[in-house]
Amino acid sequence: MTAPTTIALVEDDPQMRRYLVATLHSHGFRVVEAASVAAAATLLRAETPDLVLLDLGLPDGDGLEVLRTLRLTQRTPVVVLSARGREAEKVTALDAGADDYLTKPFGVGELMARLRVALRHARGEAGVAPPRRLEVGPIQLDLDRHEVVVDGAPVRLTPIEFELLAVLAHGAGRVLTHRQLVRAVWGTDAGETTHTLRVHMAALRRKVEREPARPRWLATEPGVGYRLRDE
Amino acid sequence: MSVAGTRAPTARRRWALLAAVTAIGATTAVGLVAYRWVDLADLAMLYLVAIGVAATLGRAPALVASSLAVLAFDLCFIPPRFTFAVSEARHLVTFAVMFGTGLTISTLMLRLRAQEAHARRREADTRALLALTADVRDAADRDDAAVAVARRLEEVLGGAAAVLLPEPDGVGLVPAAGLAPLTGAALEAARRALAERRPVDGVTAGVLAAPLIFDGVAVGVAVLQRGAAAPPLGTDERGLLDAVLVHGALAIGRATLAAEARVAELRARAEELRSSLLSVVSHDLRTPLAVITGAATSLRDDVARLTPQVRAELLDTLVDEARRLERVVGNLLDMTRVETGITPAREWVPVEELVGAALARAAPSLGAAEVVLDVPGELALQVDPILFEHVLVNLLENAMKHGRPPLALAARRAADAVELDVADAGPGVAAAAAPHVFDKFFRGAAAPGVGLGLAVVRGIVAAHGGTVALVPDDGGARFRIRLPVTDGATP
Repeated sequence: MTAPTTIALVEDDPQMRRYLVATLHSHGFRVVEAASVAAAATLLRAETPDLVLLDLGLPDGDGLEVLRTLRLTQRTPVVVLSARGREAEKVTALDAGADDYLTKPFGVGELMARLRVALRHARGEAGVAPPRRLEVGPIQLDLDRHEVVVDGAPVRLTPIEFELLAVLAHGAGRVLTHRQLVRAVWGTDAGETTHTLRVHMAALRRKVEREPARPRWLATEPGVGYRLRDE
Repeated sequence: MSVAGTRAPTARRRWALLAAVTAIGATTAVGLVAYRWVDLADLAMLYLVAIGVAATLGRAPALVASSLAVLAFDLCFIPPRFTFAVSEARHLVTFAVMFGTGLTISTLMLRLRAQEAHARRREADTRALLALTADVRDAADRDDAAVAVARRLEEVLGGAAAVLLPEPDGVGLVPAAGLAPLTGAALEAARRALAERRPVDGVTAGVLAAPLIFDGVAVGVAVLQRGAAAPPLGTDERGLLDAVLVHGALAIGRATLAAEARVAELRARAEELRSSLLSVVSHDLRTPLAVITGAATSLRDDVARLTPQVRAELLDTLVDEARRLERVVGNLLDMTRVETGITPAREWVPVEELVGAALARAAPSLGAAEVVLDVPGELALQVDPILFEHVLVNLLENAMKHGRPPLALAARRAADAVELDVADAGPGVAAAAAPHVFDKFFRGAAAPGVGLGLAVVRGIVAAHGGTVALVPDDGGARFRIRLPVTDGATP
C-alpha cells in the first residue's frame, strides 16, 4: 500500500481548519496543520507534504511569506485561500509561484477539483518530457504538427492562438495569470499588454467554443487570468 | 521692488557725472573754436542744450553741468575773457537761466521716472494679486491655499514668507507653507498676531506677522521675515500686504469650510449607512442564519428520524441560505466601497468576455433559466473587469428574483456609447416603485434581500462615467446601461 498523500494546511481560523481537516481526511488525505507563519515554517522544515493549502491572511504575517520561503527550495504545489474582492492578492500569490487559488467561501467540489489538478501537475512535472499530444475535453492538440482538432473537426489557428491554447492546455485545469500567459506566449520582455492577450483570447474562443459568450472550456477568472477547464 | 544690491546705481551715478562733465567740456571746446563766428547768445544756447542733456541723467549731473557751464562760460567767453570777472549784469541773468534750466529739467525727469517706476510696480502687484486669485481658486485644500499665499507674499514683498494654520484646538499653530525655517522671534510674533488678531510689526526688526481673518475668525497667520536690515514697508507695500492678506484669508477660510463640509457629509453618509446596516444585520443576516442553524441542528440531532428526502431538502436549504448570506455580505462590501469612492481600474475588455464571466458566476442563481444573448464579438468596453462583472451579476440576479425567465442580455454600439440591456419576461416594475429601484435599501415587494444590488449597479456604472436606467418595455423589466465611448478610443 502506498503512503497517503499529505497535505499541509496553513490556516488560522480553527473552524475553517476543522472543516477542511474533516473533509480532507474523508477523502483519504493525511493532513498536517499550522495556524501561523511561524508554525508553518517549523512544519515545512519537518514535513515534506505533497501539497500546501495556504491561507493568505495569517495573524503573524502574510501567507505570501510562507509561499516565498517555500519556493526558494521546493516545487511543492501550493493552493492559496483568499477572500472575494482580493484579486490583486491572488495574482501576486500566483505570480510568486502559487499553483492555484480558492475564493472563500468554496464548496467541497471546487476544493477537490483544485487539489486534484495541482497534484496531477506536480506529478507530471516530476516525470519525463511533456507529451507532444494534448487532449482536454473535446480539444486535441498536436504540438509537433501544430494541429488542433475540436469535436473531431480541424480548426485553423494563428501561431499566437495556437501557442496560447498550448500553454493553457499544458496547465489544463489550472488558472494562469495574465502575466504568466503573456510571458509564455510572447516572451519575458515582449511588453505585450493584457489587452492584446484579451483580443487573441476572444479570437481563440470564437474558433474553439460553440458559444463564445458562454465559454465551456476557456473560462475567464475576472481580474486574475484564464483557465482551460478540464472537466 | 526688491532692494537688490546698491552697486549698480553707484556705478550708473558715476557714469552720469562723467557724462555731464564731458558734455560741458565738449561744448566749451566747440565754443572756443567757433567763438570768432558766433555771438555770446548762441554760445549760451549751446550750453543750455548740454545742461538739458545732462539734466535728463538726474539731479546731481544737472547741478554739476550747470555749475561747470556757468564757470566755463564765464571764464572762456564773458569779457573780460579768461577771468571770472563779469563785465555786465545781464550775464548774471544768463547764469541764473542756466541753473534754472538744469534744475527744472532734472526735477521733471525725476518725477517722470518715479511715476514710471510706480506704474510698473502697480502692474507687477496687480499681476501678483491676479496670480494669487488664480492660485487660490485652484487650491485643492487649505495647505494648497497657504502655499499660494506664502509664495505671493515673497514675490511682492521679498524676504521669506510662511503661513501658519491654527491647530484644531485653536491654540497651537502648525506651519503649512513657507520654505525658510521660522526663528523663535517670528513664531512669537505669529502667536501674538493670532492672539491679538492684529498685525505685529517690528517688535523684532525685519519680522512681520499678520493674522488672516475670514468671517471674523483668524484662519491663519502670515509671517514675513525680511532680515534686520530691510527698510520698513512703504504705503504701497502695506496696501499690497493687506490685499494679499484679504485674498489669502478668503481662500484659506473657504478651503477650511469646504473641508469641514466634506467631513460632515461623509459623517452623515456613514451614519445613514450605519443605521441602515443595523436594520440589515438584524433582519437580512439573521434570517438566513436562523435557517442555517435550524437545518444544521436538525441534521445533527434528528438524523435518525429524517427521511432521505427531508435530509436532502435540509441540505439544499443549507447551501442556498449560505449562498444568500454570501450575496448579502458581498453587496454590503460593494456598497461600502461605492460609498467611500471607487476608482475603477479600466482596461479594454471584450463585452463577450465580461458577459461570459458574469454568466459563470451567476450560474447558481440562474439555474436552468434561459438567457438569450445578443453580444457582438467585436464589441469591447473600457471598464474595470472585476467591478463590471458585479454589475452584470447583480442585474441577472435581480431579473431572476423579481422577473421571470427567459432573460435577455444584449449589447450594441450606439452613436457615442455602448448600450447593455438586461431584460426579463416577468411582470415588470410597478409604476410607483420605478423611481426608487436604484435607491439603497429599496426592495421590491415580497422579495428577500437587502435592496442593495441595484444601488451597487448604479454606483459602479456612475464611477465609470455611465448611466443605468429602467427603460420601457412591452414585457418585463428592462435595465439599460449606457457607457459613453469617445471616438477613436476603441482599441
